[in-house]
Amino acid sequence: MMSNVQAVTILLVEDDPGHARLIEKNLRRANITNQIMQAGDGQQAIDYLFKEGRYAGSPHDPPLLVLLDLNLPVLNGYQVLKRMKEDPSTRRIPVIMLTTTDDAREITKCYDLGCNVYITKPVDYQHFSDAIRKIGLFLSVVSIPGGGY
Amino acid sequence: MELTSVYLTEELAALRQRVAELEASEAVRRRVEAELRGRAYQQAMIAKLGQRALAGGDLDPLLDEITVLVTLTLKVDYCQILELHPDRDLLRLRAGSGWPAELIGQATINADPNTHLGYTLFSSKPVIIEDLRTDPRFNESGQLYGHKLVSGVSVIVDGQQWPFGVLSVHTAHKRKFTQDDIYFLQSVANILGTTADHRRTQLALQDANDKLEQRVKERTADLQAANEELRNFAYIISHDLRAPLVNIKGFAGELDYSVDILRAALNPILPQLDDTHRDDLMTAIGQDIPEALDFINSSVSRMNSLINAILKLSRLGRRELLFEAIDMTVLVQDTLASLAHQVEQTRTVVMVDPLPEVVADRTSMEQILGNLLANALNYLIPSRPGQITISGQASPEAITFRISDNGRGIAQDDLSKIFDIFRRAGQQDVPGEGMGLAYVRTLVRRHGGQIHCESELEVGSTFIFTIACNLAEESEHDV
Repeated sequence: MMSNVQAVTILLVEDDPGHARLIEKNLRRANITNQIMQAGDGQQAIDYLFKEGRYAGSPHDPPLLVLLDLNLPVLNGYQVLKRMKEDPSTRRIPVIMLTTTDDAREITKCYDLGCNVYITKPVDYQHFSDAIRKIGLFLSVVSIPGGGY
Repeated sequence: MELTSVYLTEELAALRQRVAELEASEAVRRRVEAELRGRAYQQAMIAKLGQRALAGGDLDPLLDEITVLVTLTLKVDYCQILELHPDRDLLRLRAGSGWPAELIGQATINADPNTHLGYTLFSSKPVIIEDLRTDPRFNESGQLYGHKLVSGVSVIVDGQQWPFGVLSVHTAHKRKFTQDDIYFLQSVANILGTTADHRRTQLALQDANDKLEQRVKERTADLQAANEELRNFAYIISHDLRAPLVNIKGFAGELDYSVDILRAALNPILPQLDDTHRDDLMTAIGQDIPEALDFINSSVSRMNSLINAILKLSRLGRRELLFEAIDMTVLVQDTLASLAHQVEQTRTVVMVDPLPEVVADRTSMEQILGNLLANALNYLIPSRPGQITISGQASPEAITFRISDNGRGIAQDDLSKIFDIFRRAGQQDVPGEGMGLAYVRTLVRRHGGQIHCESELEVGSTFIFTIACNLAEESEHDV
């Protein structure tokens, strides 16, 4: 379904393996077949996005979309978001914040830093599934700028 | 002629005598007049000093003024005020006239009783020195800081607890001091002693005040830190405690899906199994697993609602308040209108006294009244018509509101815990999470007020809360 765009990978930055698994399962249920790249902390996400550290010289394309948690080890979600939105090579990649916090100030801060959507992970699993499915729906219609770098 | 001459001579002698007498009495009169003038002048100086001392302010300018005044009034070469060191072994030249400026505040002398200054500290009377060099009481050269001193008077400047020091005057030549001079110096020393004592008390008071203020500051900082900790706590609850719940609930949901798949797959092969296996399988898939998942789900939901309640409480403590004038009578009537159905059902008579206006946050007042009135209606005794009275009273510091009911009441032992989170008292026949009064107390505190409850079982409860006046001018109250 995404054959006509270059970027095919979804970067999922999530330190809770349970959450990561639930997100992945629900994306698959929403017929999202893209490769899902998982990063367990903010530094790994930065390394992947900017081909630094362990990803130095890696030939991978930039991701189609970043799903980003806020509370992360090493570098937190704000730091990843800020770096992405400041850098011309990554600032156009859509970023969906996906976190357990529904604090108004944090939501505002993320939008100020340039996130595209802020979603609070609902404790109710039906709502959780619905939210992820809607991301899937969003993904099926989203167009990203071609060319990337 | 002879007789006349004798007579005249006698007359002349008498006349001369008389003139001499008159001249003498005129001299006495002049001397007495001069003395009186001098005494009046000295008394005027004492009065002036007394006024200066009463005016307050720093001690040093007063000391300087005293030394100058004494020097001029007693026409002496030196006047000095020496302050006794707390260790009582040193006297420091605190103020002086006739001395080089660099000595003032610097020069010290041992408070040795063999010197006239040290001796003065132990003398209840003024110490009068005709010639310092030859005075048998002292072992002194007549030199002080390189200046020659001959005659002098020194008096102790006494205080209530310990002496302030010594006031003394000196001349570089021999001089006899009059009783008036000595009285004058003693009076100045008395004024100085009282003033120094007063200043000392003021300083001690100021010091105590400063320390108290410092302690208040420290306590405030502690409280602010505790508040900050509570705010972080709320954040931790919202994020860190929710995260595992998402997993528990999520994977329970996944298990549910898997059970559905299993059930669908097993249905066609069930008839092929023997009875025992079939029954076990059907019990596991049809009852045990769904029951376990139901318990997991309902417990997680309960935990989630507890977390949400704590979060709400912390948000009430942080929300920005907008203070405005509120007609509480109208607000109470509006709240009652929203509860009209319950008022009617419980056959409740509500009496609202004219209530004072408050300056407060409207949303908070709505929540406070809403909670308290709903409670009053929820916990009535069904067998008798309800009766609720709302009254208010204004004082310069705060406005007090009372909400009384004739409901089931609260046991004395429970009264202290009803404002705590998740605490409910009495029979649990009305749904609720035990947070209502905790929210109310948080909101009342943010209005600089307090809330408490007076209650008697089977008779009724009265909730009394205050809202501080002048809230709009004050900075926001932290919870």
